[in-house]
Amino acid sequence: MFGTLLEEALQAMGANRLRSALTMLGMIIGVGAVVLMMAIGQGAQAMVSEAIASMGSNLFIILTGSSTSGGVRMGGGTVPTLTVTDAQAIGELPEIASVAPAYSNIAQVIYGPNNWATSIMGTTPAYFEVRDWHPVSGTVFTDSDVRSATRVIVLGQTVVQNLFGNEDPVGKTVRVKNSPFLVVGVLEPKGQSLDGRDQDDTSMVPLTTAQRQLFGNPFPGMVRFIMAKARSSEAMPRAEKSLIELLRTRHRIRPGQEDDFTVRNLTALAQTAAGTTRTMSVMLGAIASVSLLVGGIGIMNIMLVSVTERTREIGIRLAIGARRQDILLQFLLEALIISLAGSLIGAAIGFAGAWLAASLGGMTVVVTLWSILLAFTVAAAVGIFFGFYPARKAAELRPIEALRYQ
Amino acid sequence: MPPSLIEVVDLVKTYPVGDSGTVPVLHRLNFTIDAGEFVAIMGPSGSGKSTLMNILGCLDIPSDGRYVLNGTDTARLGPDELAALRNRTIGFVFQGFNLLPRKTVEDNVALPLLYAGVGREEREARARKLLEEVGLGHRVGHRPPQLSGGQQQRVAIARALANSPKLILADEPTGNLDTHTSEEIMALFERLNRNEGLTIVLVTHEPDVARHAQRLIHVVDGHIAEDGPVEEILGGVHS
Repeated sequence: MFGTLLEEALQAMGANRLRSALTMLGMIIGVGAVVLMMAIGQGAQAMVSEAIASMGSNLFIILTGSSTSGGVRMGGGTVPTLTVTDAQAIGELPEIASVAPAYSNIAQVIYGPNNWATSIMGTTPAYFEVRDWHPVSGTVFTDSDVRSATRVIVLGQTVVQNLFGNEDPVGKTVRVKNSPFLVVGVLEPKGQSLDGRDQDDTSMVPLTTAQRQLFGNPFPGMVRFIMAKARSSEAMPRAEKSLIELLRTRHRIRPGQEDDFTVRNLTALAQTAAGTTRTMSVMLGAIASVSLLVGGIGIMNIMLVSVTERTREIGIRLAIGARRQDILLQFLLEALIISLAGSLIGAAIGFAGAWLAASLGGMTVVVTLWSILLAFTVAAAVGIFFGFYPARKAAELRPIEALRYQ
Repeated sequence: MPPSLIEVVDLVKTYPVGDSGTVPVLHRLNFTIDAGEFVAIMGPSGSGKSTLMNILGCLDIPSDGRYVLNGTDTARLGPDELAALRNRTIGFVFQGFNLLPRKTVEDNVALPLLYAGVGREEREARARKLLEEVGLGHRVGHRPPQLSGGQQQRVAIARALANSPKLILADEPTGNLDTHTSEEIMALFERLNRNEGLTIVLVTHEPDVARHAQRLIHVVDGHIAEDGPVEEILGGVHS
């Protein structure tokens, strides 16, 4: 019985192809928009969470702060106030999992005929742990390299591409400031940071090597910044408080005096960014849903016209023994087919649009099964909801009146 | 004596006019029709004969009085039970044929079977057989607009027969047909009545059509003016 009613519905739709197609268009646009917008929204979210993951989790960055000399405040980063011993002290805090001091500067790296200016960061092996950054080939340097200030270097992907092309850099020697450095490892790519910088355009050397041999630090033991990783995200607020207290004590800052360092909670920044993209994603979805609603109203409109136009046909069907539910089901099925077929085509177009946005527009898009399921469920609900009223109107016609209708 | 197929007791039908007024169309009709009868209902335009027909066909409901069909008082039935009566007990033939123009002749005939829940193969087989019986076995794949009026009415009769009803109701079945075709259609009705024992009630205003029946009910202004054998009321054969 259901199968034959389905056939009846299809036949009725085939009888008025242009109208069925136009009604379907409303659903196609609605579902297409929802799928595409959700793909873009989720793409943005994925991009942000990728950037967060690439940064490392539960991260603090402690920057050298401003000093005040004779009432003149010098601004952030002007005075080298952080030392390697500060870093060691931070590492002993119970909330901190690992800590890495860093001293970086820009220098020219030369390999054969190629050269490339990049950031050279002197740090300890803990840095790779803090940033959750692993080599794709070779290894990173060790604590003993830091102790003996060996001339080894770990390269980021961008540096490798600019200096070596397709060659394997591990075991080769590059020159930095006229000193030869042995390339011991190449890091995995990290991509862009949240603020759009290329995180791979960097290289690392042991901290002591940078301080003593490359940049001739006037204050021995000074570092530019310290990265610290908390044990867990719950421990972040406590860790931040302990950090500040510790450094104030160590730097002999009296109560009421300004800090001579700055502690930044990178995870909090990242979460703000994630929240923003989530809001954007929800808004895109909401706007697209409006078109789905408009499509549904289009279905109702056409079905009402169709019921009026086919009143006589309904009368004939009732006269030869169709029950109300037969008529109801037939019109409901028609609405459902229009909305489901529309959503199928719409989902395909949404896919295609997402693919185009990704390949031509260079956008990150994520099409999830969930977004398609949602679009289908909503489409079916729209079909039933907006199809029910016209269908019931048809089913409740009185046979004699329907037959007399001209 | 077996109970009558149709029993009409004090049947009244009024139509609402304006806000509260009503216009009576049928005044307290009483008659019975037995299984196997071939009855013509005659009357001038506006006499209420079509209204009576619609009530007999369960397409409309009486305002007062009882209509008992095949032992069931129709006043007690809900819409679905009335639909079942229209589907299985009654076969309706209309003046305007009332076929679905987009469906093939075969699908039109099979439609009552569909609503009776008969499977596809059986539907098709039965529709073909019925179309052969009314002489349209070669036209199964055509659509109604491609057929002549007489052929369309034959399709409608085949459709009315689909669920082997006890009663065929025909409302001016020859009203849109020429004399020759009318004779053919009436001959088909006579054959169905004689060979299959089908009860046939038809409405007409033409004495020549009514003459094919055995009994004649003459309705004038919502009253039964005469009820008896056709020959007695219309007199001998003419034209």
